[in-house]
Amino acid sequence: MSFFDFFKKKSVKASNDSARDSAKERLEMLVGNGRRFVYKIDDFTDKEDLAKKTEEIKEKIKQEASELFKTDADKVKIVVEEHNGYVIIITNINFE
Amino acid sequence: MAKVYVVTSGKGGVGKTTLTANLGTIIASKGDKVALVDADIGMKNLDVVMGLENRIIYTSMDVVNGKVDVFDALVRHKQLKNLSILPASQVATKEMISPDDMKQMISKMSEKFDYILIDCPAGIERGFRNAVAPADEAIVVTTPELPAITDADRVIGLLENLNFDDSKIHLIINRFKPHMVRHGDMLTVEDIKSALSIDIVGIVPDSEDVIIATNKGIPLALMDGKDRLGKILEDIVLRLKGEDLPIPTLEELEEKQSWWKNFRNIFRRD
Repeated sequence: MSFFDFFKKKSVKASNDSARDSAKERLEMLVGNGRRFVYKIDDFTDKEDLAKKTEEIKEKIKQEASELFKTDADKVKIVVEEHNGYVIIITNINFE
Repeated sequence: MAKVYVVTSGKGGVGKTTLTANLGTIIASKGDKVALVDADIGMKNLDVVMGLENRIIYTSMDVVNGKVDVFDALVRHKQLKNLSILPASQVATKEMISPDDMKQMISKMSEKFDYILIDCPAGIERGFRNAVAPADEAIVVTTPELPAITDADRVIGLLENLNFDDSKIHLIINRFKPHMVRHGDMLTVEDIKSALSIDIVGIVPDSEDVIIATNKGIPLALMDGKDRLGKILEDIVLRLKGEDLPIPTLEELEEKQSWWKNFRNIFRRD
């Protein structure tokens, strides 16, 4: 150990990427960069129609997402949840 | 009628209970009548942070079961007589109380208090719904890490679904480390604000004083010599009350270290 090493703090940085940049990029992927969208589903009284339209929407999102991110459609997973009269669409894209 | 806030986050361990205790203490120290409600049934902590764990006789569970009136279950703070807490049971579960039960209790308490702060449990299940049901406005707490921010995003979405207007949802960034932001090791306030699209009501820097205060059972706001953090918390309260105060800059948030501490750091090997 040289004289100057004594004053050197142990570095934990493994790469040149800043943790902030990496976190920002991942955050944008996770939550997007804008408002969440909520849609009222109170008007849907026909459950079968709702299920059919849900599948159509899921398929459309899957198609758009796979084109946008240039990935296979089966790598796009869409979950539709209902909370207090609103539909929440969660899209997970698995990048290799 | 009281103004009812729910302090929520989604993720656990971000400092909801500590902030509930401190914000409530600051509001009470200015003369308003304040009640803090522990909605974390089964995992209660608010009484411990407030140093009132030995004074509990009844809990919100006894109120729901009709054993006592809500005002008989309240525990008054030792120093601030206008500050009370409604403790939660340690042995009950969140499912034993419904959102309607909470609404009834808070509605009754509203008659005698100016402010009610509900400490919400982690998660988005029954405990969350119980805590949010009687609230007029929500304080969402996050730390500057990804898991906490993504959970906060989910909670904000759920609050919107429950008809909370954006103007009624306030964000507090807790345990902020300005030196890490300066070194590019942490998300900035702007990064978090842009991801969550919610107005920030305050940034609380990380501090060892919070651990000391919790261990002593004294809210930070009542401890001597904590003027800097006290001022930050006081400003949050003023912003919640509608005052247009600027959010502190990175430099303002950074604690100035003494020359001795700086000198010692030169020789420290982390």
